[in-house]
Amino acid sequence: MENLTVDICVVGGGMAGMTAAIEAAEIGKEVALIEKEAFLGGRVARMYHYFPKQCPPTCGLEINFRRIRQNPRIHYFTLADVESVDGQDGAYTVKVRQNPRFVNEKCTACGECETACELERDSDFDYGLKKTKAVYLPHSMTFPLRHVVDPAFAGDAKMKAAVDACPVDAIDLGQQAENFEVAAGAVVWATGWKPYDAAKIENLGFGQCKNVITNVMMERLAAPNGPTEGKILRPSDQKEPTKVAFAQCAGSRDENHLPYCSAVCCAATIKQAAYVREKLPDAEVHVFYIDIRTPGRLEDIYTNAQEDEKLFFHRGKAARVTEKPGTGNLMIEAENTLTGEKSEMEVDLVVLATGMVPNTADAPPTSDAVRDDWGFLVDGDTGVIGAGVASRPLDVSASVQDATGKAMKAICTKARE
Amino acid sequence: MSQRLKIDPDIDFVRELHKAGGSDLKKCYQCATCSVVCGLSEGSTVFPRKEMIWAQWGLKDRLMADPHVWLCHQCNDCSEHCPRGARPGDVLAAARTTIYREFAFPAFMGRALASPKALPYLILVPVLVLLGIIFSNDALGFNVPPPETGTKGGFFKYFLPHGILEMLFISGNMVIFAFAAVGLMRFWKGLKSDGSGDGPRFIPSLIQTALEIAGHSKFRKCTVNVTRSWAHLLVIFGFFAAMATAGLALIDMTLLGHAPPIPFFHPIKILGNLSAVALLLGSGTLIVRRLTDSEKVGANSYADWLFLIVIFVVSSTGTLLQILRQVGPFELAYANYFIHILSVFFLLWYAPYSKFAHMFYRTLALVYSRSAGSAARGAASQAADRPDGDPESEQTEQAA
Repeated sequence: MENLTVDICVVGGGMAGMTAAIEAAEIGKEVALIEKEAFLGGRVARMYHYFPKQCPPTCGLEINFRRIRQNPRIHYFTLADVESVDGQDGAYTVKVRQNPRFVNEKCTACGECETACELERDSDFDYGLKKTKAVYLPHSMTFPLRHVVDPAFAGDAKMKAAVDACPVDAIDLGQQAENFEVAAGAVVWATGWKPYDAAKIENLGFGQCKNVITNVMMERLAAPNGPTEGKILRPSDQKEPTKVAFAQCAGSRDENHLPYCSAVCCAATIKQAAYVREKLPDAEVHVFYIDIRTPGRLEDIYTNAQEDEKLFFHRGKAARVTEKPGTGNLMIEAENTLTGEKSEMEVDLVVLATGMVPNTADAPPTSDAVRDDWGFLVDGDTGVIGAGVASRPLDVSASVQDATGKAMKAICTKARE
Repeated sequence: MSQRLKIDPDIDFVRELHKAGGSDLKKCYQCATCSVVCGLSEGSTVFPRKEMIWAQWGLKDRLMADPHVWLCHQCNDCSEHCPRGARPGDVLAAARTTIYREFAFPAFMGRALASPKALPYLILVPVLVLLGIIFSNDALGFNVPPPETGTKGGFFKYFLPHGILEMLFISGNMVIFAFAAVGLMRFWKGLKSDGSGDGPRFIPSLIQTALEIAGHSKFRKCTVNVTRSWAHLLVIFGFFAAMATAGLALIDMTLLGHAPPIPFFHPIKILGNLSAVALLLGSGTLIVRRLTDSEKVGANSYADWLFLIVIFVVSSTGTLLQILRQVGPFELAYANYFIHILSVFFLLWYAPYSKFAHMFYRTLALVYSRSAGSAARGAASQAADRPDGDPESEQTEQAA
């Protein structure tokens, strides 16, 4: 592949990365957008709704995809890993490895290959809640709209069925990885986050009890394009729960896990409580919390939620979740810190409100990038510019605002040098 | 809010808690993980979350009247799970230390046992008493007959005569128990102010509590620290066996007229040696754990160390003196005997003010919890930090 020279290189094609790329490109800058997954949209694409408007992310994503498609100054790459970032403000070299998709641009996403393919894989998009074929469309709004082959199966002889089924000869299992370089005046790092590994929170039962899920899994259960087509069913027996508990600060504000507050989980839980109450009007929802953190306008969400007579808030952290043998039901224990009484409640489903771990904690842009104790990129006068959750825990709208500001910073960086 | 709340924090009390090993108490943010993970906190006997906020706010009166502080065995299950590193187990231990000092009578003794600076004086008192006995017995001649090695004679009686020692111990202990009783009465009164009970009466409760302590059934619920519960049990049994040995030896000597020393295979002697082994093993294990596993053991306060070391000195010198008496040299045997008697004095005479006191306070609190039945639980839950359910006098309500 050919090397590329741009004004700004944006790494990470989620909401923050797309926003930074679009904002810079729309005022005339040449931008490269590098995404490691097979689609743009990142974590937001996995959501059912986002607050405060409680609307699905489809329209927001669609607008951004259109702005990207229509703008010749945005050069976007999916399945592309950044291998190194060298240089300084004004003169960066970003080395990129373009991984094979094994599906070329002839693909029309007709799905014939999927029907023919027998091989299956866990869907990371659905946090393992369902399986897809080895050749698959990541999700219904995949952009670019093309199938992709899981590289673990590219050499499998059984893939021939899928190759043969394609009416337009789009599957090319012989594709190889290629390397190229992007020269840029500024680098925006928007590599986002991953959910905290809930299995590490031993006392809350995730991984031991089937019906303990995390908040990101709840989004998939509620989403129409998710594993249950939008029905909230508990994993053990696919039954509708009648009593759902949310455990706030699951592994957050906890020096044994994530010491910080992820800032979004309280509002996310109230949002998800609304999913349950809308989809299952008879179900009760119980939220166990230390304190509800819904700053600014989000306070309204909390205030409104308190009017729901089947939504209960219990002040006291859920500190133990165990399975009631034979039922799949869960016993969730907490002390009510207002009455001083300890309670044990039997529920059908427990949702752990886990926090966000910045991907920069494992994979910083450069070895000398300045990060805080938890791995978030620290804003500096020079150097690679962190945007979105790479810089601090943010909700979607704040992430968009942050990315817009960081685009401005990148433009200034390029102009100054 | 239509009501305003005024609390009077006792800042000095909070400082005392800091010094006594509760230095992380301000980190608590009241999530109540501790109350759930604690194996002893159940039903409506829920702790230590509420004790943490009382400690932060300096609500000394509440902590002093709270039986739940004494249900904790500092296994530090809670401290391991605490998301903030506030170490509730250590804070409760510090509260216990501070509380028995607060109840101390006379009060200056409580302060003296809390301060390393006072230690030389605390040692000096029994040293002077013992030296007084030695010199008066011997009319300042220090004319102790050097015994022959391997002697079967009770030569220690020339050095520190048994009769005088027994008189000193019996009368001294009676005074000490009277002093201790003053503190315990105050403590009991504070507990009772929470309301009258509907559980079993005092004596049945005491018997049940004693059985529970003898088996350490609750202590072993602290799963993080099982070895420690066994070591603690050894120390308790060792202590009571040693006390029984002393009593039986006294009867043997005075009523039955047998001259000491008691033969090695005599039942009294066997009991005494078993108690020594139990005390040595128990206190030794606790000391080693303190030195090697600070995370689980918790804050190593001065009071804890002092108590453990004294027990270890009592039991090790007690064992040594049997050997030294047989093999000599007699100077060493006398010195060792002196230290042994000194440490026993230290252990018993300072009992109401040292960590020893936890035995009495904890037992009383356990008895109270049993006899109060549901009343104690009701009081405990009322006393939670919710302002509008608050019956306590240090909070006064005013119209805003």
